[in-house]
Amino acid sequence: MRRLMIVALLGLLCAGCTALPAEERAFAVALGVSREAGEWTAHARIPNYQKAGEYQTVQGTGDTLEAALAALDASAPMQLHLGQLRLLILGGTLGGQAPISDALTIMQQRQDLRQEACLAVTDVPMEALMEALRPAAGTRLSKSLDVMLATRVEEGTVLTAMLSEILRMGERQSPVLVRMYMDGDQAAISGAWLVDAGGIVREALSAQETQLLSLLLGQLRSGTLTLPEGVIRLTDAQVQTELSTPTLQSAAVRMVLRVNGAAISREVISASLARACLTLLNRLSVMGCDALGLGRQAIAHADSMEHWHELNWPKRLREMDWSVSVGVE
Amino acid sequence: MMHRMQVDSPEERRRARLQAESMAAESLVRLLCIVSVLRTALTRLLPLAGSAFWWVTLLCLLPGVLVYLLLAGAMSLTGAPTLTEMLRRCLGAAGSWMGAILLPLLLLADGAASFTALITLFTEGIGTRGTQLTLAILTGAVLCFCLNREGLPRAVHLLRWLLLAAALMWGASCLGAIRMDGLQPVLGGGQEEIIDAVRAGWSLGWPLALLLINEKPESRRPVQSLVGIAGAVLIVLLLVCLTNPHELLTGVHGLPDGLMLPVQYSSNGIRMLGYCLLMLTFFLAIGASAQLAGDFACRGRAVCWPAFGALLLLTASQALHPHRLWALLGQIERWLLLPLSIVALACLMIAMGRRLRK
Repeated sequence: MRRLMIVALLGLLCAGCTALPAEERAFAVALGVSREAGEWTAHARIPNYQKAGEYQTVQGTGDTLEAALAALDASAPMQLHLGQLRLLILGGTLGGQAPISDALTIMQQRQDLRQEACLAVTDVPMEALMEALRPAAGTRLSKSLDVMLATRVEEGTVLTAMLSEILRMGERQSPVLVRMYMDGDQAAISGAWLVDAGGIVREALSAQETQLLSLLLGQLRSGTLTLPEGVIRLTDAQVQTELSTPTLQSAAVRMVLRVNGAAISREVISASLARACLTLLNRLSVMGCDALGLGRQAIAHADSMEHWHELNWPKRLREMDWSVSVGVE
Repeated sequence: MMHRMQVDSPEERRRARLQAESMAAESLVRLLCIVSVLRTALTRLLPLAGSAFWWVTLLCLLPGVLVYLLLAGAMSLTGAPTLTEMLRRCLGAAGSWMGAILLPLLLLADGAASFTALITLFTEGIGTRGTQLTLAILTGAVLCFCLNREGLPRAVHLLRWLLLAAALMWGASCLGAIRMDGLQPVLGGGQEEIIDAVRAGWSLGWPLALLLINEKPESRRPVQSLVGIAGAVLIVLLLVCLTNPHELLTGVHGLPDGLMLPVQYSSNGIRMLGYCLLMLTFFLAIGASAQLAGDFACRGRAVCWPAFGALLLLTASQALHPHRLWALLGQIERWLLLPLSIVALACLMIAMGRRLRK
């Protein structure tokens, strides 16, 4: 009996101390944060609990992000919960103004924030984008977004930009965020936004450029790859990126591809891909975007953070001398 | 395994029972050691040492291991089966009183730190409704049911696989996020930060001495427990370092942030599991501190009120402002190993002197 009491009391400690049952919470599927003329606005896409399969947008504004989020909480019909969040969208003007880490640090203070949510950037009005977020398949927006993101990642037209990964990159890698835009009256996901060493969102990449970046990151291993000369079918891709030591001034990318039944000759594929990759890498470097995470290799040459800052990695990255070799089998 | 052996005679049955109880008692001490070392490492050393945190923690464990070896050496020379018996044989009645005062004080300091960590985790970390004091009273009240000289070690011994399974699930969830550059830069923030971290944590290995308070089961060598604890601690430290870069580790401010960091970026399910694991282990460690402090204070007599008295003291400590209490405990924790080192050296010298005279 006594043992049973102990176990029961321990069970009480293990149980959640939540004040509200799940059905009395508004689970946000997408959260948009934007800043216009010094005013912050936060939008959340939540299920419409009166009409099954439909969604509604709630919003809050304030002088600070914290105030906007508090206003958002107040405007939700039930207690807002971010435990089912699929997309965290930053408004375009916000992205170009301040380091994304500032907004993320504030967001991170919410214990319910889902860490697997995907970080996206848009340059279209947030309210319109939120309203356009509707289930494309089935009745659940969360499932629809999951499927859409997984499909785009598999195609290589979107890179995985999970919040937990981005927050853990530190100074060693620059995140590449998902690009969201409007395609007619539908919200679309394709391409990427680049972030510089200072955490500022800079330029957008097209779907084709994102595919190349995905290939360089080793995320795209098979599938269809679009080149200026035509389309090739990849069956396997091995990519190795090596930073020269000890100078840290040049980096070499070695790529070995297996291509299935291409109409283009292997020499043309090799030359075209090397050229496209080199152009992209130089563009990333000039912008100070370490999307490949070369900083992870570079930091091994610093014995302390003091030494690491002395190395001035962002400057070295901007002056990086890239070489790309592509072998096609 | 002794407790699974076929036992026939009453004598064998008694011996098997004693061995099982000894193993349960050791489980309690091992849990207390692991919780204490990891708590100090995550809350005191991590913000200072950053990526060097894993090896700085191991370095800080060395003085504790040394004291453990000195005490074990003195026990071996005197032939005493337990730490308190060795103190009595080496220092006489003074040693007996020392064990009854010094060890409870150390355990109370450690228990107060664990209690503060648990309550702050509730109030500032998870955001449970309730004030620091009401949550402390609630925790203390629940602990009252668990304090028992035999029952608490048995509960820990029974729960060890559950705790291990939860820890393994957390570990498995970390595997996908491992980045080898998490160990870089090797010196973290630099030499000064490392020295500060070592100063803050050199005493963190003091609970290792508690491994000597129980008679060891015949099947277990003394070094086995030491290696087991160091191994468990090392795995956790490496996983924290490999999944979080230095920039993030040193950005940890406040007590609950350090404790929650290992699960901060995990999925909601794993985060919840991690919080439960933290709560349960801290809860048991506080109980262990109060129970052992009470046991030492009553010098082996079968009275239970000293353990409840220790628990009352620990609960009452939460009436203080949590940040001031945590800062005060930080200053105390730095010196926990010093009295034990002096006692260990004195006992070893006395034991060696006696051996030489013979």
